[in-house]
Amino acid sequence: MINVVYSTEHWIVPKIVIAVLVILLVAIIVTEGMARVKAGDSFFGKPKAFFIENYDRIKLWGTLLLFVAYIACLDVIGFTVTSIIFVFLFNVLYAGTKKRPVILSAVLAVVSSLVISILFGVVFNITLPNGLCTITLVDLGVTIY
Amino acid sequence: MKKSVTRAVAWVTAVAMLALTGCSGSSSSGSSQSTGETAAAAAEGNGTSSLKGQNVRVVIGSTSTSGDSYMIADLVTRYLSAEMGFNGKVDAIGNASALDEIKNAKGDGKTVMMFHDMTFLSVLFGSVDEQYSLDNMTIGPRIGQNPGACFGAAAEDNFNSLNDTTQYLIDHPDETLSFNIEAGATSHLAFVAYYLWVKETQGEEVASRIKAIVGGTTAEKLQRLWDRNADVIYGDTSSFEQYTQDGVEDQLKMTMFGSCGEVDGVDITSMAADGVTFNGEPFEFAKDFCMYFPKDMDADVLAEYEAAMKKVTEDPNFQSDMAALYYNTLSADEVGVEASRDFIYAKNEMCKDLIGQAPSLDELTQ
Amino acid sequence: MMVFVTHLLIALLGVVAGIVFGAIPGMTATMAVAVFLPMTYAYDLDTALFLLLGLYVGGISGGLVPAILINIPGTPSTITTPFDGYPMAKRGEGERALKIGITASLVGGLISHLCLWLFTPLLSSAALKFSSVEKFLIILFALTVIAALSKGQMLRGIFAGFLGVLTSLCGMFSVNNAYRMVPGFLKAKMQDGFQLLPVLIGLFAIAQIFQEAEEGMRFKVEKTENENKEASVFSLKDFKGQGVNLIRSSLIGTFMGILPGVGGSAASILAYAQAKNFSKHPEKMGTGVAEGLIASESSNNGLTGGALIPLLSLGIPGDSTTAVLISAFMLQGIQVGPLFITQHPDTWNTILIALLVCNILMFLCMFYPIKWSSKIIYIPRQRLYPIIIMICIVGAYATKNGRIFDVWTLLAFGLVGYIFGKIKIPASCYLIGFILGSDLENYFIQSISASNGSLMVFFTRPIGWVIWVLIFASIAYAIMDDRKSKKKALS
Repeated sequence: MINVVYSTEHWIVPKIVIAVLVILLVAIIVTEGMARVKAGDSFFGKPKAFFIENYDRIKLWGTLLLFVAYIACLDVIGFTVTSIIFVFLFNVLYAGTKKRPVILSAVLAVVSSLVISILFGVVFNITLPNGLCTITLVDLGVTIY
Repeated sequence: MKKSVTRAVAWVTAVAMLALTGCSGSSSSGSSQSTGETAAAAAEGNGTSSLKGQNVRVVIGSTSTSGDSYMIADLVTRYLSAEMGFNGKVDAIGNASALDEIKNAKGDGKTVMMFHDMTFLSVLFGSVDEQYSLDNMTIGPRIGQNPGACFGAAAEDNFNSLNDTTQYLIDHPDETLSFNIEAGATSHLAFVAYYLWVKETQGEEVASRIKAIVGGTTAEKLQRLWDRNADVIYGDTSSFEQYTQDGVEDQLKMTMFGSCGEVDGVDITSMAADGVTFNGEPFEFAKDFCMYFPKDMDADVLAEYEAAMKKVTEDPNFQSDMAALYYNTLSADEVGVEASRDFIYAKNEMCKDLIGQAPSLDELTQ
Repeated sequence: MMVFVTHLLIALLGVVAGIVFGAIPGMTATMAVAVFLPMTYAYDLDTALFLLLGLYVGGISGGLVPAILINIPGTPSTITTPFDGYPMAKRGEGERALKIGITASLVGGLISHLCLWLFTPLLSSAALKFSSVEKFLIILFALTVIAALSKGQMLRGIFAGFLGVLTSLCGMFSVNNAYRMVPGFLKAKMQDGFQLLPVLIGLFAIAQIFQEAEEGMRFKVEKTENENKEASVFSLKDFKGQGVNLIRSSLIGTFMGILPGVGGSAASILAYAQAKNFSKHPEKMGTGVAEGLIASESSNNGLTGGALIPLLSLGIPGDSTTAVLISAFMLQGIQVGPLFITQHPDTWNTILIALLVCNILMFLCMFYPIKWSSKIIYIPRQRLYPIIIMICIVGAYATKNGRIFDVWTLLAFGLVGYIFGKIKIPASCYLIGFILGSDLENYFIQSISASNGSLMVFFTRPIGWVIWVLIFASIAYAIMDDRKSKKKALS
């Protein structure tokens, strides 16, 4: 029997779910702890390293940093230009800074951003983030976000 | 990846071109293609304004692309696009997001919200913050009305007006009637108005046997009715009408009554015609759709919108398109910005009053 | 004749555009139909239907390409496709996997078409027997797949599933418009909680990118060219012994489509679980076998015909895409509802023909270009991922027609997925919980409000008992499976 009161019914299911989660969490800690004890280890085990050994610091943190900057710039600069910049930077981050790969990175960034921007923003008329570099060709009635 | 993307682009453009040429042939043979053609004709050059060639984003406070909010906003946007020469696009982003968008957008006319009374009801009911109140935006021209929200019941119950439901409660002192409504929306207010009216005319005891069931889309409400888990549901005449016709099997068959305004072309009594009153006035509560702009709206662009809307609302093609969906068109005077502002504020006051008198849903659902 | 050619071309346009939408992570069939809807104003209804149904079928099918080749389910209905598809692609059998998936899609589409054509009145009255109680139980049943998916670490899987449910509940509860589990400053953005698409592509696509960035982007396809060449080439033999699986999965998909209000993504989840429960080699599921792929793909295409059944016979859409289709009918002044088929027999025939044509076109458009599309897997990841990131951002932004918040959601869940990988919480279980969570709550509250709070309501209806039996059988089976694989791990 559950007492259903209109103004508080938004908490009925979350409360049940939280209770189940707490029970499960305890169960997981106990069963896995016991298994470790059985295997001759201590109950909580040794804390493991979060990152893999010799992880690629630049690529991992670079990805996060670029991602945040990318999103933050979207509705300030506008979709197309932001994408060209960041797709290029991601390419450089992953493929290196030697001359030839960098040229390829630049070409890829420009082409892919323009294709996506025109396909979705113009052909399919989907709203994309707009900003300072969004241009409207008034005579054609076309906006490149 | 790039290769396949370019290939896809080439494909789509090629096929699209074929399709478009193919269809211009077939569409002219169609019978009721007025909208497409007028819009196309206008796009050829007679539309002009300071927004010519620009993309205009029309946000609506609903996330559905099949409800009345989308239908009206889309229709108006198409006619305005033609009239003012911009590319209008309706984005169904939802109530709180739309209000937020209008609060933060620039007042250059490139972002418009077109929405119904939920705009201020959501503030009055407290489901969004005070900062989204009418005082923090610019009310633009009204665009149309949907009078078709109404009550519906299973045909076997023989309810044909709100007087029938009241009579049922009087005749069966042990029975209750459950009404499936949505909280914080038009249906909530219509229901509360009915409840208060029963309380006033028939007394506390009869009114106390009117129960509310809250929540659900139109589809879910219909299923509640078909399961007989609700006695009366609230929805739109345009979605209920098909279930009232002869030939519908008994489990699905419905009657509809108590619409919030007079609906042309549909045989239904309105709440006002049923005698429902609020504060002594006949209760009329058609959903009013209006344009809303950011607070610092450019006055010139607003005037352009006003002039364009005045033209659109008098366009016979627009009127017949609206009528086909059972929506009311307004007169050129009614869509004026000044008149619209007064109208919306007056309605806001009336709703505040109604909400103030209404018992809480905790009470009505028990 | 001319008209038919026009229709055929329009259907082709729809199918191709639909496939593009489906194949792009974060774009769905629903979005495709919504984007093209305004274009149909200028068409007559028949032409519009060919276009929209093409988009629907293409959009549902296209999702299998990224799911198989880059481990990213392009749409929610393909969530179980990568389980077996990606391991195959990694072994260098991408082409075979795609062909199996596409063929299964075609069969699923055709079976559901048959159901739509022959049994619509029958099935719609069956759907009416399912009230909120039965729907709640069906969703509960679909949730039991979590137990089946997480063999060897069942508790963690279930924990992840419930965590997913809890996440899906953040936001405003639509019944009483009250917020829960949302910080004050996000209220305007989170009225509808987190959107499924950014969560989905965040958990899978973005998390995978973080993980490979950590490893330094050294991914290579382990091609096992010389040994076992026979097995890596597609032939109809792949379907040998899969007839029952194919039909069962298609019917599950169709049925999930018929049930209004039970999301389409539940279809492939349920079908996958049943394929596993009935499989002769359940331990192989998830390692790249045709069985799982067939179950997933035939069920999600089975959805298409199924979801049209309640729409055309009751006026209630079976899934989110068919909900958008309603507007196409409304704009042409046609009411879809109980009298639709008798009042508009011509339109009804058009729908049947269009759906058939679109399924066949989908197969042709997807099957023959496979030679090229399967090469995607050989594109170096350092070149592919930047573009995927951009496309995911477009998809996330477009989820609710243009909100930056959904792009932040994408990144946030990318990190969540990455961390889950580290602390061994199965992201797929979490996602299934997330997908089913809000429906679970909705029907639970509906059921107990109707019964004044009594939980007995879940045990009083005959169809409910049947579902309970299925639920318990599924759990019991999963526990046995879990024990078995634990023992195996020990020995």
